[in-house]
Amino acid sequence: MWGTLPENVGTFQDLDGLMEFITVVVGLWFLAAMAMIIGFSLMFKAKPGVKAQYIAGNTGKQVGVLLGIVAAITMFDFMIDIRNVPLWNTIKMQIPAEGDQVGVLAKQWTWVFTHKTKAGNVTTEMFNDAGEYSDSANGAPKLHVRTGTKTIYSLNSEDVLHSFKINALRVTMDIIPGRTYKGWFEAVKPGTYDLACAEICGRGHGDMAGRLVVHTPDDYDKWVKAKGVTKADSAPKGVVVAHNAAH
Amino acid sequence: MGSSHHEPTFTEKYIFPLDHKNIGLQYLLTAMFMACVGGFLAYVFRMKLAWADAPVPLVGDVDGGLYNSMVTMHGTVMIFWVAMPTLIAAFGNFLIPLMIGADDMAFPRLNRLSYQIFLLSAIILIASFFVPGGSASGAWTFYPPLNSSKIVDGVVEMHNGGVYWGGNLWILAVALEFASFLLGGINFMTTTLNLRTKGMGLFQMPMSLWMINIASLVFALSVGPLVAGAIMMLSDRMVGTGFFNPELGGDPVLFQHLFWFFGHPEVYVVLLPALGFFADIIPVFARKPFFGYRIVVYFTLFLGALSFIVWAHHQFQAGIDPRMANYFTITTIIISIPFGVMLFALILSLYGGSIRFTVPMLWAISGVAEFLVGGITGIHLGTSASDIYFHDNYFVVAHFHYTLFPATFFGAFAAITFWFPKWFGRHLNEGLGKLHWMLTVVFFNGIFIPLFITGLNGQHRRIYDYKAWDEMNTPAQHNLNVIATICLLGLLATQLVFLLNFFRSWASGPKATANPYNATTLEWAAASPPPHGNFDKVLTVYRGPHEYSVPGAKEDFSPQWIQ
Amino acid sequence: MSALTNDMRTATGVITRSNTGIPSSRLAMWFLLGGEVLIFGGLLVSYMMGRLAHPEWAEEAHHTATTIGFINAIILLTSDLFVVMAHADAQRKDGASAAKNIMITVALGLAFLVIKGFEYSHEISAGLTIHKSVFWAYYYLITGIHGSHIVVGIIALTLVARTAKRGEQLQRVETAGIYWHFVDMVWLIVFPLLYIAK
Repeated sequence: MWGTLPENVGTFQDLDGLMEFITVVVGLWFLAAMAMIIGFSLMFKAKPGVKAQYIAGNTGKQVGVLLGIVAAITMFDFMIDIRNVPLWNTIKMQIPAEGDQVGVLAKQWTWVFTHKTKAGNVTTEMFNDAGEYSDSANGAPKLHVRTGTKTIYSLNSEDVLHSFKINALRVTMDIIPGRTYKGWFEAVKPGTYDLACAEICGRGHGDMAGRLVVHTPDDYDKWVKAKGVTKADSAPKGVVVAHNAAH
Repeated sequence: MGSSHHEPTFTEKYIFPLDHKNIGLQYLLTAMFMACVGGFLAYVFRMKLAWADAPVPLVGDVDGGLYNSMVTMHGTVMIFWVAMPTLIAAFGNFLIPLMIGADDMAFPRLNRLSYQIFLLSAIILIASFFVPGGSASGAWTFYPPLNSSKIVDGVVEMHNGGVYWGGNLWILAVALEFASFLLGGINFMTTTLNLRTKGMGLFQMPMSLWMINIASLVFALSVGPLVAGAIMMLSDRMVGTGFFNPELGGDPVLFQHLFWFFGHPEVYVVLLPALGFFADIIPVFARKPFFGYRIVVYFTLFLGALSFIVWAHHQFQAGIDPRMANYFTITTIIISIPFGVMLFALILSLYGGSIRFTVPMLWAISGVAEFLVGGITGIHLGTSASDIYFHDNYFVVAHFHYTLFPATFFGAFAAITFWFPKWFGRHLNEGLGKLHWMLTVVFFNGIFIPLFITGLNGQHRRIYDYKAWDEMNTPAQHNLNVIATICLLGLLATQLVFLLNFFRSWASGPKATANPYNATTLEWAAASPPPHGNFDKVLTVYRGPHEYSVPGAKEDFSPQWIQ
Repeated sequence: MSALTNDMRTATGVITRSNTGIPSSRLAMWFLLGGEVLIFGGLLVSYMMGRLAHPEWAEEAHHTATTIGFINAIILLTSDLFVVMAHADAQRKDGASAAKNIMITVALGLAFLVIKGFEYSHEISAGLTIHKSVFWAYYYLITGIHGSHIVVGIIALTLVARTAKRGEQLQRVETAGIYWHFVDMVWLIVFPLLYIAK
């Protein structure tokens, strides 16, 4: 929204448009109301000899002013609602049948991503079974996806509530233990983006970082061939890793 | 109770009072103390957010667990132990009997009991900081299973770990606070309905009374399911049942419904009294009636009803049925209608006035303006699709602080500065009051405008250190966080001006007359301060509460009690 | 001065007033019960949603003792009758008779608790404990909270009987009676939900 939001690298571009639309609508109301507050304050500052006018807001005309405001607000509400519903339905309800399947397992306080690929399941996580770093970028597990293909994720939690949030794609979905939620997105621009837990989940909530790696289709195939076993991906470093390693 | 009132002794007045004014004072002073506690907690986590690598002065190193605990307790303290006791309990107690022309509450001893339960709850909450494992740290929403499991140092150990007393005490304290406000609210509503003096119809009541009573009713009717939820939560934690534990066949989302069925109306419980104060203060200093009194009352009743069918907008991203989200978006956005009416009624009350910018008037006008920001940004969050981005984002933090801060603090400061002469019989210092107002407005906006921007940039909540995220770990984000923290320090320091003004004026401010503002409502018919028993005769009400500058009247105010 | 209305005390005298025409104590009791309805409502709706989501709870519900629950329903309904009689006595200003009827109500309330206690111990010894499943957790929580209301009602009624016996504070008979009716009515909702719906 006018440069304040991070670049939208997915297909949910209309979301930014909706946010801008809401901001414009409520911004106009805000400016109108502020103009009235400041204007009236200046115009009607007490002056010697000038009495206040008796306006109780109970005549037909005055009540009409308030009801006019009600009508105007109702209209703008309706305009927001009709833009919201189809967008919401697209994002949350119309999950495509075809696409790359990834499993997202959240646990205190890290992520395990399972990619269903042609070469079988590829799991990326902080530590492998031997306790070694299997995949990390600044200590964060990576979710690998490709452009040109929709990604269908399914969310599970091993312990408490978490939330799967990727700002760059405008994706957020809570993760509830005992349930599996599905969602989807399609990334359009290759790169590495932040992935976060957005529901407080205990002491290490602030360490529960992940990365989304968007590949071009060719790069994705290469990554699948290498099966994502990336011990050399990056060395553990920094406070974050030390924190996670502590337990 | 006899036919006359003897002046109470010190113990009767300050330790175990029955007089509504003194019980109100107990609430007010307790809430002021708790506000200092809540402010200190904000200091701890804001310092951590600005300078993550440095120890916080007076506290030391803040790790993720302590950070969560500070955030959790800040929210809890500010809503349940500052906003509610100040706006509803303190001013409800002080104003209701005075404004309806009664000598006291319908049930003075129940009133005293309400305060004592409240005090006990505050003591238990403070004690929870000092138990092993520290205070509750799972956010003020207390979502399970994080909070319903036995937890050691923030690590869930399902049903075989140690006992985590901080959380248990949190539930106990909140439950007692609910009991206190349920009893208090029943007392308020009964008093208002039954003890009104002759001629005081419901539509002759000042707006504050409407708002406090609607708030009390909304509270009484919304808190039940959460009480049930709290009992189930306590049972899960201490007995090991599985109401909210999916491993045992329970449902964690159920608690979210129980919580927000209460949690959303609770916001209005806090907002409404503040809007009521504004609506009673603005006419006094604009010297004209409140605009659209009846319409605003009707829309407030509509708002109260509406508040019960919007709760799931807090759970758009929590996996509720997406079709349900469409329904809740529509009901949520409709909230803008009653609030629009209220705010424009307040603004239009200025039109054609003869405005005096006294300290309470400044608080009231600026309170309306600040609340407006909170109101409009709610649309972004109540719209389910745009909430996908804003869920758990600092935009939410900034939004609800722009609603709750103006309500709690602008509302309380407006009320305190306005009714101080009545309550204590002395005037506050005008200069210190204006200084305090100006600095508070500047620093408040200085905290939360940057937080709106960090939120738009994508900063998510309840994170003690953003180093793990490259997009958040930037100089721009850091600078905004530093600005917010510096403004918080300024805001906290500014409150010392208020405390100085409050206590100094209480002790030695210039004496106030019975009706220093030439106001019209019944409390100004009593002496300043009102004696035990309030009025020296039974009053009769002849007109509405805001009759200023009535055409043909000799004075520019026509008190309710003078024919 | 009638005890059924509000006395307003001022320096110049006492006036009696109740704007709504409803005595304050009764009005307050209605507000309190409004809050209580929501507490039980929250519990029972949570239980019903759980029941709908878990058909297997029907199997668990088979083990609740319908006959005992029914006997307890009859006991509470009978006690309601005595509360009504106590109220009629209070309106006739017959405090002694009101106190007698209240104490019969209290005795019936105690009988309810004793029977409920036997039922609990029977169930617990059969392994149907609070930990067995979420159904049983709801069962113990709902009946337990209801039982605690019975206990509060018994204490309140006993205190009311003491003053009523002396012919004082007779308006309390009605207020406490409204509460007792409410608690009994809750059982009439709890009973079918937990005992009959198998």
